[in-house]
Amino acid sequence: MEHDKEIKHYKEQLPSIFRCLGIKGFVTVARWPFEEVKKDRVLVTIPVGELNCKEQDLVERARKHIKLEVLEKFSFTTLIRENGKPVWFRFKKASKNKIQVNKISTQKLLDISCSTSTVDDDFLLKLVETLEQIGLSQYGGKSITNEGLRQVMKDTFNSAVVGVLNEGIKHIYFVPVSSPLKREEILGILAINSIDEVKEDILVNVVAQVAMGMLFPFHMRELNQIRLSYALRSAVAAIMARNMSHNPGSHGLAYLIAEIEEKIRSGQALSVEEAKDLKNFLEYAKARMDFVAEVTTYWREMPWLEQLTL
Amino acid sequence: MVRTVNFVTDIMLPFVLNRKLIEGLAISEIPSFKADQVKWVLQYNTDKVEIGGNEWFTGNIDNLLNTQNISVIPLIGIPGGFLGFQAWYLILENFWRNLIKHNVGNVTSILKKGKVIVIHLEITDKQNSPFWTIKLWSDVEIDEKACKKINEILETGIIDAEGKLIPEGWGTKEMLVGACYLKGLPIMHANERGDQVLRCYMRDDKYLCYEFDVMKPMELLIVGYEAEENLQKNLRSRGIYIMHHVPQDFIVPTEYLIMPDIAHEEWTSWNDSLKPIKRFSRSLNISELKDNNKSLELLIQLESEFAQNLIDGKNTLCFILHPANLGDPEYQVWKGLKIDSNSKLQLFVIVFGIRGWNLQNLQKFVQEKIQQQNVCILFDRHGECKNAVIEIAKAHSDKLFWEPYGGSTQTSFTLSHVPNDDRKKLLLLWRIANAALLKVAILDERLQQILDPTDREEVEWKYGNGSEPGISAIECLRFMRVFIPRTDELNLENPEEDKIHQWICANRPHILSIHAGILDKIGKKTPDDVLKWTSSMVECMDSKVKRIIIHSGRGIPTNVPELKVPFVGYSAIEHYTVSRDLKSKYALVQELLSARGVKR
Repeated sequence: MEHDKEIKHYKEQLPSIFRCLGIKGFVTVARWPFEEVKKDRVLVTIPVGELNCKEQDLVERARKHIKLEVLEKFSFTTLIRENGKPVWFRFKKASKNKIQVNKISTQKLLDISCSTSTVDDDFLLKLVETLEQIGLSQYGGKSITNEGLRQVMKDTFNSAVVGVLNEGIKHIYFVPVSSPLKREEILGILAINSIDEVKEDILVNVVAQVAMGMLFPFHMRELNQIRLSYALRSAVAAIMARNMSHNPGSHGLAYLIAEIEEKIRSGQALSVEEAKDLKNFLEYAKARMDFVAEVTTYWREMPWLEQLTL
Repeated sequence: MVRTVNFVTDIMLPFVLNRKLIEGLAISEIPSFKADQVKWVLQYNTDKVEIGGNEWFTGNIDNLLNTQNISVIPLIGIPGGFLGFQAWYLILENFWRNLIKHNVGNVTSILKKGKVIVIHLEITDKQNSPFWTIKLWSDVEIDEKACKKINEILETGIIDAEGKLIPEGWGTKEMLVGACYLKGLPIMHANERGDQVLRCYMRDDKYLCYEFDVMKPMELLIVGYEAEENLQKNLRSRGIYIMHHVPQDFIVPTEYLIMPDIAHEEWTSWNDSLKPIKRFSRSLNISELKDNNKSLELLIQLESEFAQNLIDGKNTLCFILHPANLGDPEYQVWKGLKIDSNSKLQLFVIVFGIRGWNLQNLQKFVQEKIQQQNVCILFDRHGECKNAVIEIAKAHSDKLFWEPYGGSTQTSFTLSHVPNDDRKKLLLLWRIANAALLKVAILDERLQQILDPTDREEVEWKYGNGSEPGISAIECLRFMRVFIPRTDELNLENPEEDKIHQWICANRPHILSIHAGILDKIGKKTPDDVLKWTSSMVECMDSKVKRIIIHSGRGIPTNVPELKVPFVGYSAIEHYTVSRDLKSKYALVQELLSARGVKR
């Protein structure tokens, strides 16, 4: 439900923004919600710009190369996200394969030129080596040099990069969006697949800001949700601590202590019945303390149960 | 995760009879108030059960319960088991406190007329859902303004937009937290939908009534199957859940799980600590379960299968119930239960002096059964059979379970207040039998010190008229297949890893519950350390069932691995083991069976 709202927002906003910028093609938005809100990655591909019929066909054909089942196994955006490095990527068509590390504004830019044919193992090895050098060294908890990863990386490259470029897309730019609260955290990536070349200053000064502006409210909303849930847990702990002090404490225990005090003063022992009452009360208080300790560390919830009955 | 409990005996009775609490909460406003001046009326449909009043504090609880049919009050599901009872008490305690605090005049006027305060708890079936709806009100007239104010508090929430606690209506808010917990709702619901979670309204224009939902018992989860929605609703209302796929890290709340017998990643990556111990693979005709009798028969089959596994499948279980006399409620409810002659479970209800039964005959009977490779489970009121069975139990600890119990105790309630339906009764009998069969080891220095203190003699429990010698509590628990080491056997105040290992290997339990503090002391300070330890320890447990549970009294400690090792609160373990009258193998095992891996 939340995903749907977010995707609708991107679909409404991005085409007109890119029309104003004069960028034609399609954009893929990937955003990773906080782990605590337990949602999957938000992923949507949207045609942008003033497209004529021919360009619309081109975009449609190119978008078909973005295959979810392939990206689920390996995606360059997930690689950037997992390593927490705001590295920009540019993929472009060229007569031969070439990999270079450049700079765009203050950020690293991995510039990858590729020929129209599918990538070979030598190219892939070079790519892996470069990724490792720039700190994009882990994927799914494994080293990027892991041989098992190489095939899925190849599939992704051939489909989402070579396939797209072959349809007539000139550049693919990955614009990472970092969380302003925690710089090493990549909250999302805007992948711009443009039919024409896009000027670097537009990318850095406008597109990067647009990406931040688009993704950040959703990030903040989740952050607020998490913040409130922690605040609520603290508040619940405070309520329970206060009430434990008030109800079993100042009302229950206080009178009990007074009674025992009276027994001591008069030199009387507690009767069996009195001792039983005392035991019942203390057991109750002990279990309550245990419960409060548990609730402050773990809230047992089954939200799916209510969902089933809606 | 969710434990099925008897609402009357497990939840209400300990609260109603908590004299010091009930009086303490009232005494500031009404100094002479006595706990026997309040009566609690529990109602389901038109059936009512009344508890409270003078005789409940002075008389025999067994008799008072027996004069009413308490089985008419349905069983309920409680998230978190024993500790979850406290969520109920948050509601009851604040209701009671506010009733007195804000209505001194009306309460005093009722008492002056020589009447008692009556509090009603009405349970209604929330049709086609997994919930009961509870209505809570008293016969004390209350101004409507109070209701409006409470609803304002519930609507406003607990914290404001900045996350700051709104400091008013503390009692109401705590009731709301309790209601949220009992329904298994995310805590945010307490803030965002408080007035839906805890509903407050005027009943008959003069009584303040609260309404909230609690769980019905959660029996069985079937995964890998599909069923049409109406059937699913019908089944859910009887505690049976069907899921084609399970979400990642799904914590199974039910007592039983049926899952496909295939090595698909969806099932293999699902951590065992999140599933119940009672899990099975089998083909099912889901539509048959629409018939309540068929679903009960399925659960009976599952229990039977579980027992067969525990006893190697070749023996018969002899369930011997020994009430002290014909008037005992457990005699009345079990004497007529017919069990299929082909069943692997036989029930013998034996009263001395009736049909030639006496201590010698019982001894002979048990010996014969054991020689025939049967397993005997003996529940013994007042421990009268002790002398007949102790030597046999020592010689054949794997073939004889013995649990002595007294009247008005946890075990007598379990055996006495049972469903009226024969199938449900049989299912309960199987459950009690399986709880008896499971070998439970508990490693906790506090329990050890309570039962076998280093500075004085070990605790003895006396049964009968008290003239007979007592029995060591630790030994008695061993006859119940609950193993707690004596101090000289394994000192848990200064635990050593090797010795713990040796002790577990020697006792080979099915379930081991260990205090997180002991793990800490033997150097298992991180979740990884603990996981390595548990993996090595399961190797020497009984091969039929293996479950290691961590318990603690300080919430979830940081060394408990998330979603990988089941957790239970310390109070529950202590409650069902260290007291002669509260000890109950069945209740202890139900608590342990409901433990699951937790997420901080």
